[in-house]
Amino acid sequence: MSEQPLPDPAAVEPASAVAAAAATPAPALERPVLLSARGLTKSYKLGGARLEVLRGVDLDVREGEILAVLGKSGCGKSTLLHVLGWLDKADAGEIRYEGQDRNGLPASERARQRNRVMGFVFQFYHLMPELTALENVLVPAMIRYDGGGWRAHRHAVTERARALLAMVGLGPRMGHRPAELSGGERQRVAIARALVNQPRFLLCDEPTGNLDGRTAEDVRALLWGLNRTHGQTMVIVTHDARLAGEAHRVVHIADGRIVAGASADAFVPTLPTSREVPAAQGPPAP
Amino acid sequence: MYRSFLALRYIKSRPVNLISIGGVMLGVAVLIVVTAVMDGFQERVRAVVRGNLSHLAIVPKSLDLPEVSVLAARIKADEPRVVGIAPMVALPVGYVYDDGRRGALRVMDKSVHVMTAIGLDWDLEKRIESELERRHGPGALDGGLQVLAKSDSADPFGSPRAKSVERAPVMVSRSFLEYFHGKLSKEGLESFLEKDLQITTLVESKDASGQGSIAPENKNFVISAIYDGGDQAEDRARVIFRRLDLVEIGHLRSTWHELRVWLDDYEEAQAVKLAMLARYPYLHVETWEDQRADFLRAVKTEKVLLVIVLSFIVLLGGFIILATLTLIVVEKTRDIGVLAALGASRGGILSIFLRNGFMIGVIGAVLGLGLGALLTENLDNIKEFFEGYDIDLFPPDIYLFTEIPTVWSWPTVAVIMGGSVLVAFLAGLLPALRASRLDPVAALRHE
Repeated sequence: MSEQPLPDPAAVEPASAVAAAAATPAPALERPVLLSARGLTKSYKLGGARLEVLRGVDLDVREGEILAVLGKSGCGKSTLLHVLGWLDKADAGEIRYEGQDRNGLPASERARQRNRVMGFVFQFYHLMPELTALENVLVPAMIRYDGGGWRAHRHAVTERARALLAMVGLGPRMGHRPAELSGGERQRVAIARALVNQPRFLLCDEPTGNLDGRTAEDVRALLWGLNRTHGQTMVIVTHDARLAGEAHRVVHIADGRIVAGASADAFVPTLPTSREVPAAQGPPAP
Repeated sequence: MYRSFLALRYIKSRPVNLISIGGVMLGVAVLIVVTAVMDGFQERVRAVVRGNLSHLAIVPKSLDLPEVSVLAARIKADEPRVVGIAPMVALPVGYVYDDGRRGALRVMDKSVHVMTAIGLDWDLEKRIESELERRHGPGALDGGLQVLAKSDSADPFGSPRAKSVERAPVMVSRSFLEYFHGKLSKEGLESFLEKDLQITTLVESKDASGQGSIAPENKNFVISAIYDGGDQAEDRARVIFRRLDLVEIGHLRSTWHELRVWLDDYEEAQAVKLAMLARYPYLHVETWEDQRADFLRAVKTEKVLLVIVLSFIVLLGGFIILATLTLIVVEKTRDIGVLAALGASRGGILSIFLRNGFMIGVIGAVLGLGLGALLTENLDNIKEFFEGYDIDLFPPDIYLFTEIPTVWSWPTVAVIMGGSVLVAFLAGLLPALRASRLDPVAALRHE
């Protein structure tokens, strides 16, 4: 598996600087497709009823883009993110990455690849309360080198984790436990954790959904800065039209289908021209 | 690597795990102490039994006994494992006294304490003991009779043997004297030396028509020595004579009832017994274990039962682990989902909680080892502490010994610790399986 060259976290500006520079769009108009999902379906059994969450989703993720998936809560956007990130398995369809379908792989292999290729950021941070910020950031790396090599990589990985924490502005607080950190700080730790294995994709589920306006904007600026400086590819699912509006591209999901901004669309940066989602592209009324 | 790391953190961050660790620790400590005491007890009991008996006892099947010296010489020639052979006679006797006691036989208005009079060749037995000590070092017959006080410095029966058996010397035990006179100091014991002891013997006689009968006969003897045989109950009912004195006192037809045989290695008693039984069909041969088989088996059974009962403490510790780990898995459901999202496999998550149980087991077992060793080491202090509150943990009249005997056996300790760790590991299996089977997506949504 090819690896993205390590973005040197030390070279990234501190969060405030990133925030200031966030509004610059990515220059490319046409970029290669990294991840290509076709015909994804997913249903859950809920009680006796069958709940169809995804009903045939086609979606491409292009290199270096910030793709926003916009939809109301319960529309299946989280499920889509989990399926795209190989955390959940689609009932049908395929997700091609580097020419190979990853949806059909056995669970242990999907876990191994998820660890290396995907970085998850959740609305509620999901840090481990008994670990310090630094240890939280190190967990994916520990999992990665669990089969061996931890000793060899330990030093480099720990240095990288420190640098990532410094980059997100938590250098002095890396020995603190999540309970001692504010919501915004926790989300920064979570972002550092998602980046520690140098993933190709950063998958964010309502990354600012639990933060107040100012902190939310800081976190958004941090993410956008990562994309700008390192070309970090991101998929962000949100119901926040304003956040989605900042993305390079927005797809709308409703009723388990992509209803606008189809995957075949060219890579068209929507920033900074439109912060508002056009009414025509909005999800149909239920 | 993350698995041990997280398992350790989960243990550290949850005080409830201390209960699990404490449970395992307590179980291991109690099992270690109890097996050490029971092993020590068993070993001492066996030594005492062995010391009071001989390694083998040979009893002829008929009363037409060959000459002792001839038979002994033949056995020694046939069986090189035999170190020494000494003849013995035994005779039921009674010690008659005035005040009644519970369990005493009443005859007319007197009480009778029934005893066995044993006739030994003291010098010969001492020579055999010296030979064994020469071969195996001092204490080769550990657990045998200890002479506590005697009138004559060389021979507890005094020397030389008098022509008459009137006032013949006898050896009684400390527990016999204490049974009638209460606890005695060394001086108290010595004050009984040279005192008379009236014993009622049963004497065979034949009347003019040749009809045999048995009649009681009161005789006075002199206490020449006081011994301790280690077995309080046995000692109390045993008075020791010179063999030839007893033959004369009881008008015995045979000069020996039993041959006491000592072997170079008492572990070979069973093998030598079988060889002798094949060689001499006219003899009964019993090992020292055969002679007290019921008692020895009872001691062994007691140990096994105690270990089984106390193992339930460890099992209980296992259930505590099961309960707390189940709790932790429920509490950690979301973290399990996060771990899955970060790339942990099902096997990895399973392993976190298996290690959790295993580590609790190991920590508990190691702490239990420490506590168990500490308790075992200080058992006599603990006993004394309780005696200060009038609680006698180890009454010597029940347990034969005055101090609590212990044997530290590393193999036993290893089995106890290994077993406890295994129980802890198995207790973690169910919660670990549960954790590994969680749907990561559902787990992430868990509040």
